[in-house]
Amino acid sequence: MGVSRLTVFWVFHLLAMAVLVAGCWLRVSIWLEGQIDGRAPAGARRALVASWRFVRRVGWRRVLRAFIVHGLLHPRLRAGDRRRWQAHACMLGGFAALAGLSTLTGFAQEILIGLFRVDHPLVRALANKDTPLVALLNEVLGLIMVISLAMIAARRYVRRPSNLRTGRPDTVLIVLLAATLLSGYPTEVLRLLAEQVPAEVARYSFVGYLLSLPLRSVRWPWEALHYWVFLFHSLIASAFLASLPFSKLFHAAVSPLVAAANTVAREAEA
Amino acid sequence: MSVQPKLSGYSVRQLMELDACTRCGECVAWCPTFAENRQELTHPLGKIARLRDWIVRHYGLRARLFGRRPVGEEELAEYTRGVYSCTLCARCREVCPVHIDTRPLWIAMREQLAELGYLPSALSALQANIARSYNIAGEDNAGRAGWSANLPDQPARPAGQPAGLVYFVGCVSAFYPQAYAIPQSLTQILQRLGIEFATLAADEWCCGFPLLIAGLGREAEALVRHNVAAVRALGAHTLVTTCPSCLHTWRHTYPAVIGEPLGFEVRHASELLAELAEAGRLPLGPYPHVVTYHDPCDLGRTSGIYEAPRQLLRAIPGLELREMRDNRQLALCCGGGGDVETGDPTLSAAVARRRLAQAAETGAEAIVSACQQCRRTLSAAARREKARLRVLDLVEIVWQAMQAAS
Repeated sequence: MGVSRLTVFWVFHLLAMAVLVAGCWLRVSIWLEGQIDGRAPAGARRALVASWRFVRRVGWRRVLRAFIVHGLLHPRLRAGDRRRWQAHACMLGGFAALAGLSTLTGFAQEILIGLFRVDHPLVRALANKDTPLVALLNEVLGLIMVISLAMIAARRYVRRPSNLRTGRPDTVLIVLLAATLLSGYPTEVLRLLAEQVPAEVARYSFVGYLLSLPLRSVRWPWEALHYWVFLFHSLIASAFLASLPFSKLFHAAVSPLVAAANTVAREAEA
Repeated sequence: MSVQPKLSGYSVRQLMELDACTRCGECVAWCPTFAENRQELTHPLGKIARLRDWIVRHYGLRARLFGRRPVGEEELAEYTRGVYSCTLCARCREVCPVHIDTRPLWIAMREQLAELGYLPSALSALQANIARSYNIAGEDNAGRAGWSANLPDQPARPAGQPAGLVYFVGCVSAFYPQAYAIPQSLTQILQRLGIEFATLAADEWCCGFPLLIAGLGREAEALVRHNVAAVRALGAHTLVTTCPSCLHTWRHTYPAVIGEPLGFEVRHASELLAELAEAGRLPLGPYPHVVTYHDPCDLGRTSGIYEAPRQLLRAIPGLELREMRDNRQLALCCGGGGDVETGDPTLSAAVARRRLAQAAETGAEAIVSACQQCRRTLSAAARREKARLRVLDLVEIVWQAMQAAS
C-alpha cells in the first residue's frame, strides 16, 4: 500500500478518459467520411456548419424540445412497453446523475480543495462523501441503477421477448455494469469500517451502513481491504467508461441527437 | 476478395444512425418480410448490425491498428439478399424508439450494393426494361394508353393536348390489365364532373421509382428530366396520380433531382376527390357494403396521407368502413413494395396473404386501397387463397357510387 489508492485511481482514470476521448473521435471520424448535401467526405467544419444551419432553419426551441421529448424521454418506448421504459429511464437518469455527482465531488476534492486550497463550507460539504445529502444521493442513485439493471437483465435472460436479440456484447456490457455497480457496496461498507464513520453519519449511506452493521465488531484489516476493493471498483468503473465508444452503450450519446434531428426534419417536411 | 464499404455513399446522419441503433429489436416485431422468411438479415436490426460490422472491420480500432478484416463473398451475398428482401414499407421507422429514418438508409445500402455489382438479376432485367422501353413491363411505350381502349367515352381531350390538369397514369395501371380499372375509373369520374385533363400517353415514361428504390438512382435522372419537361410542356398547374409511389417520387425526388421546384402541384387522386366530396361536387350514390381500407406505404407512411381516402369512403352513403388491426402509421405492407415482387414473388405473396387475413378478420366484403400495386398484389393473393373478399381501388368504389347516384 505504498502508493496512495487515489493516485492509482487517477492515473488509471485519466488513461481511461484518454481512451474514451480517442474512441469517441474514432466513431466521429467515421461519420465525417459520410456526405452532406451530396458531397463527401463531409469533414468536421462542414458538418458543424450544416448542423448550425439546420438548427437556425428549424429553430432552437424546436430542436431542444425534440431533444428532450424524443431524445431523452422516449415516448415511443413508453407506449410500447411501460416497464422497459422505466428500466431505461432509471438507468439513463441514474447514470447521468451519478456521473454528475461524482464529477462534482471529484472536482471539489481534487481541484478546488487539493489544487486551489478553497475553504468554503459548500465545497467541503460537496467533497465529503459523508455529507448527508451527498451520501443519500449516491446511495439512492446507485440503488436505482441496480434495480433498473436487474429489470434489464430479467428482460434479456428471463422474459426474453421474441424480438429481442441478445448477443455476447450485450452480456459483456451487463456483466461489466453489474460489476461496477455492485462492487460499489462492498467498497462503501469497507470505507465505513476503515474510517470508523459514526453511525449517525454513516446511516445516510443506508445500504452500505446496514451491510456494515454485522461487521462492526469484527477486527479485520479493514483499511487494507478497502484499499484493494476500492481499486477494483474504481478501476472497473473507469474501464467501463473507457469501453463506452466501443460498445453498444455509445447509443446513449448518439441516439438523442439522431432522434431530435430526425423528428424535427420530419416535422418540417410535414 | 475484400470489398470495402464506401462511407461516402451514406450521409453523416445515416452513419450516426448506425451508432444510434440500440439493438432493442422493436423493429423486428414489426418487419413484414421477417415475419415470413424468418431470416435474421432481413429485419432492420440485422441489416444495420451487418453494415456496422462491415464498417468496423474496415474502419474500427482493430482495423486501424492491425489491419482490415475482409468480408467474404458469401457474407456479402447474404447481406444483399437481406437488403433486397425489404419491401421498404418504413414501418420500422414508425416504431424505432430513436427515430432512425430507416427507408433512406435501406436505399443507401442498395445503392452501395448495386455500385459494387450485387444488384439482383431480376432487378437488372427491370433496369433493362426501363432503359429500353421507358416502362417496367418492357413493352412498347406507344401502348401506354391501352387501358383506355374499352372506355365507353374516350377522354374528351386527346392525350397530349395542353391542359391544366395532367393525369400521370403510372406503369402498373398502363401495362397490367388487372389494374386497368383504376385509370378507367378516374377518367370516367373526371369526365362525369366535367374536369378537363390530359395524360402524357406515350410521352409518359416510368417515374423512376423502381430504379430509385433498387439503388439505381442515377439511372432514373433521365426519366425524371423527361417527365418534368413533358408535364411542363402541357402548361399544367396540377399533376394527379393514382399511384402513391409515383406521387412520392414526383413530390420528393423530382425537385431534388432537377434542383428547383416543379412549378405545379402534385396530388394523389384521393386528395383531389376528397376535396371535391367536401365541396359537395362529387355526386355519390349508395354503396351498401362493408369495406376495410388498406393504407399504401407510399401514400401513408412516406407521404403522410391517411385521412383523405377515409374521408372519401365515409362520404359514400351506405358504406361501412371497418379498420384493420394494423392501420395508418402501423399498417401492414401488401408485400408489393421495394421491388420485392420482382425479386422474390413468393415472399411478396406471403406478406400479401397476411394482410388479406387481417382484412378478413374485420368481416369486410372488400379491401380497398389507393394504389395500383397494392391492388395487384392483394388481388393475386385473394385469387390464390380463394378469399371471399373483393380487392378494389378507391377510385373504383367512387366511380361505382357515382354511377349509383345517377
